Amino acid sequence: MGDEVKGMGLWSRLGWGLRVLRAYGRIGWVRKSQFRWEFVNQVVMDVMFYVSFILTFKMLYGLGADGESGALSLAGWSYAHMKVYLGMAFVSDALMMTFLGQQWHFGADLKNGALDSFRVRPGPTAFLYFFQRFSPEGLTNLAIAAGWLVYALSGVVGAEVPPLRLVWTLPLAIVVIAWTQVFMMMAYNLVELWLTHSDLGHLTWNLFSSMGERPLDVYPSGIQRFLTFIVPVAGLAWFPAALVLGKLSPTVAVVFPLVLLAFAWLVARVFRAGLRRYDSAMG
Amino acid sequence: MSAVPLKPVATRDFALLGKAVGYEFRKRIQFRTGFFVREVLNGVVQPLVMLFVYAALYKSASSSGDVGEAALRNWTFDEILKYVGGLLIVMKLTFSNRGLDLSTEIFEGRITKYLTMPVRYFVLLQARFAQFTMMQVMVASLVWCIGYGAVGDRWLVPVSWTAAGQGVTLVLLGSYCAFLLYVTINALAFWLDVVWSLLVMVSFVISFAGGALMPVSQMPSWAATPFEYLFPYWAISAPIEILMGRLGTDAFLRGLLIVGVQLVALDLLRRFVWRRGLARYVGAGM
Repeated sequence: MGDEVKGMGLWSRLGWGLRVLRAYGRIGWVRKSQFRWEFVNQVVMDVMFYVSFILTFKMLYGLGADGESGALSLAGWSYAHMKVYLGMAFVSDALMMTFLGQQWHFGADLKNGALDSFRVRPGPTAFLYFFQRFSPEGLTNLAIAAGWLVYALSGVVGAEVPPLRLVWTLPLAIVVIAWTQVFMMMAYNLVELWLTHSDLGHLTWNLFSSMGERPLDVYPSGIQRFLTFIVPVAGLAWFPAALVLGKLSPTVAVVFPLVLLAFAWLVARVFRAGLRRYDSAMG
Repeated sequence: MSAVPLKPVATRDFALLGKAVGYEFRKRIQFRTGFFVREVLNGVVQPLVMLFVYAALYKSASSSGDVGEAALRNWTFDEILKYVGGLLIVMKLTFSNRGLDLSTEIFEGRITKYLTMPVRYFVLLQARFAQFTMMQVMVASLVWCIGYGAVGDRWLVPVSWTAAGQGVTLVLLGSYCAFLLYVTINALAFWLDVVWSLLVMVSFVISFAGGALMPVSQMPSWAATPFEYLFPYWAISAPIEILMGRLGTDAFLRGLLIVGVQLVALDLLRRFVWRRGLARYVGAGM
């Protein structure tokens, strides 16, 4: 972390971060004004991603008409619950696309030694690097994803979820999603610091995000525990959806936030160690 | 000075193809960890996740909780297991856009150097397809052996040599259709600033309509019927069902006709887009 920021108090540091984000946001809008067709394409692309997921689960649950029980559930998740789960997964994905799009270039930037300009700036390298690519189209998709989440919640609030619980669980759920996205993204890219141009960052992202896009209850208990307590992918959609729907056990509700904090601390430490071995000519 | 006679175009193209495939292989294996991740592990996760989802679904559909008992739209869980095994193989063989960087070459004005040479640029792209297919046939064979060794007869074993031949034919022709489609979308970079999102959209459609998320024949008819007229279905879902013995020779012939017609149509479209694009290309980036 740069000395200038290190010496600041918490509020000053927060204000500094917000000013940087505002500057990145302005650059993002200017950049996108040059690529207007691409803006439309990316919005449509993400809508197709959402629609393909919704249709797949609609079709899977639709198979229930052929089953003996007449109605299917995915390891205890009814279709109404699954819609909320998908809403959380979409919001999670849109948050990542809006603020953390630069992560896709980390491996190539390391190989090309393009991290130098971020290391000499007066601020945390990871923050300055990963948040640099604000995406207006991601923000548009975030609005669409939030719309789906509101629609999905309208099907369960009142009947299954008391409105009062939603008031405090929903903001908490969004905070958990954002926190998990940031530190999971850093974790995916850690390995690139040691194995340059290996694409392992992409592979681990693909592996864990694919697993996290389905309720963790469908996996064997060992995998569930791994994805909750070791690599806390659960924070991307499962924990937030279960929190809002009241499906969490008291133990998980208490322990998981602690796991998230410990994970973030560990990832930040290892990332800093990885940066120290970066010599701007790793390729 | 006497002029050196040029070889016939087809001979030159074939010699160039051979050389270019060699270079493509060298490029792919340059970074060994990256090679393993990109070529071997790529595409493995999605089918495995799909298997866990199906296991939970079949468990819910069975009154006793035994996944082996239930059948959903004429598919038992054992058949789904074979289907997922088939997906692991077939998805490896289906051409992926990561094998092309044509849009970047156009955007940055780098294809000029190829256009001034006495070679057809498309042959270099075909070399990528040839390298991809040769490499993935080896990787897919390895994956099949590992799967067979792990679960034995529960793994997808072709019902006959004829079925194997028919399945592989459809997969490779379908893969070439995907290649032509990706080349065409890449060539839109002559007009558009960035095309990667279009490429991702195309890969979504190929996966969904092809049955990479669930077998097409298990989908409701409003989705399955139109998908059966598109090449992705005949490149992914149908070949697996042929290998499983769920579809026969009549289906193969129908698929061959549909894929053949679409292959010709896509090639004509590719030529049209390429020619129109070159006409407005100025060689200095778009």
